Amino acid sequence: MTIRMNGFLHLISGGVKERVSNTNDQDITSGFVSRICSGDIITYEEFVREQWAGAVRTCWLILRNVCDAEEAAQDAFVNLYKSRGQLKDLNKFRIWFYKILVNAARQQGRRQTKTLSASDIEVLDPDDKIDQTDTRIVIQDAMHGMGKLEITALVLCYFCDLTDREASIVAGWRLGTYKCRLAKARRQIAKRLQDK
Amino acid sequence: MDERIRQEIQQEANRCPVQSIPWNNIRNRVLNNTITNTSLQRNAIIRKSGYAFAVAIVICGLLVSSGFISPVMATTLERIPVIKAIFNFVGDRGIQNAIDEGLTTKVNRTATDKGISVTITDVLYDQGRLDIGYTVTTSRADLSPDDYPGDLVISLGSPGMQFLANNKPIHDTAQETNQKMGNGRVGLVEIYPRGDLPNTFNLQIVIHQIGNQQGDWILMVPVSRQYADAATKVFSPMQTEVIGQTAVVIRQIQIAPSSAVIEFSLTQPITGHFIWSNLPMYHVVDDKGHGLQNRSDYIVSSQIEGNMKTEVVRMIYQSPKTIPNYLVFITGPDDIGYPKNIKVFLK
Repeated sequence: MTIRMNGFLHLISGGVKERVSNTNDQDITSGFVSRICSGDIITYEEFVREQWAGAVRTCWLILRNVCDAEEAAQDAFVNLYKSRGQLKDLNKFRIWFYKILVNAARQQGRRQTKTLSASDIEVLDPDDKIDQTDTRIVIQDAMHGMGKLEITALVLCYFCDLTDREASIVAGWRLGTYKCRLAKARRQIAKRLQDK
Repeated sequence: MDERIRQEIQQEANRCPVQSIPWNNIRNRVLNNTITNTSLQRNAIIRKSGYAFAVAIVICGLLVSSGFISPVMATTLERIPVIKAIFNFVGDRGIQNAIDEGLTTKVNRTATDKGISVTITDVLYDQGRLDIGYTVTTSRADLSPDDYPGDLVISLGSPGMQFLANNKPIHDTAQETNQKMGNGRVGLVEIYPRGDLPNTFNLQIVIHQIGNQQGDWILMVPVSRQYADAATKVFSPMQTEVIGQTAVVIRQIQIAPSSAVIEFSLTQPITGHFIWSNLPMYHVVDDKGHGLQNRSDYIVSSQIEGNMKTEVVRMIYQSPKTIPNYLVFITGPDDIGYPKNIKVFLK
């Protein structure tokens, strides 16, 4: 049995998809999952190292603060290990992990630091093309204008590559509620992109 | 359009600067929990009994005080499941320590305007931090206690919650947690002052906006750290370590009930590239291998003599459960290039 963890992708500046590490990290075998669940710290470390960047980025898209995102990701990995005995169906490892991750991000969001840190200040790169920068600002504005719920739906769909049903389970919403929030987020972002 | 949104979101995510994996920290947290579950169950039971006792006292305090506020508020507060909130908030080890030692101050002062009441319930003040517990309740049917639209949510900073010590603004790093409870909200503000505050002072809490409601909620709370100071241990190791061209001096370690304040200096050539924020003193581990969680940090002073620059830095952590025999400062992951652990004995 193989579980796909295909949400954590990087894009290099040219827009070509690139794996976080080697190609093996996409497929997490049931043996790998069962070793994590049995408390094998070495397998767990391997998992943390492979998924760290993607987990931080998922939290960052929701929280918009690097320190908070790193803290949330760290909490998620710790919680995953602590509650490893609760996973009944190894096939659902992926959804289970995202659920823990999103919950950690929400928890962090509730106690989110209101002060601005240096890492939140964006300095534009002079090498960026004007059009790219323009699009980026449009996306940022659109996401700043959304509620946390819509952003969560957007991230689960477009960054984590979850199906509607999986995303609704991860978010803890009814399927219809998830679709409604995703549609709202999509409308807002599409309108901004079209207006650009 | 879907594909374009996907591409833009992926590119946006790529902007997030991901630091190196804090594996040591994660492993410590994971292993600490494993150890706690197996060998310290008796302590856990004692601790939980302590919480239950503290919670019982808080409930009694809230119920009794609610009777003096107003019948409407009394009814409101009676319905609040205080136990849950208190347990949520004492997730912080520093606050747990302070509650264990009975060092929180019960305040229960209320300000009411526009039908919204803000009550300061508890204050905790020691060398490193100032924590303020509060509740927000209303008698108005048109206001919701929910997160959205946040009618009873108070943000930090003007026009939300601002803090003054003897009429002077407190320079701080602050964060706030709040949640719905029954038909009100409870919250906790953690303030990490930058610089020293007086041992005893009048803390003013000034609020001009709650949710979308503008008004005046001004509370004055006398604050003292007399008892916390008595329970604070101060160590001056003055231990020097040299890392590359930089001399690190661990000058003072204060372990207060809810925080640990560590002051150190860095001296290096002006042209040096070693800056204190690159020094992950965030990773401090006690003699039992428990990592202390960093809460705040700031530069106390900076001076240049000849071609050498000295910065004095103060870092604030959650306090350890007990006074350790030593602390280990893990001064950098290998990829920064300054791997060195500094062991400081607390004698």
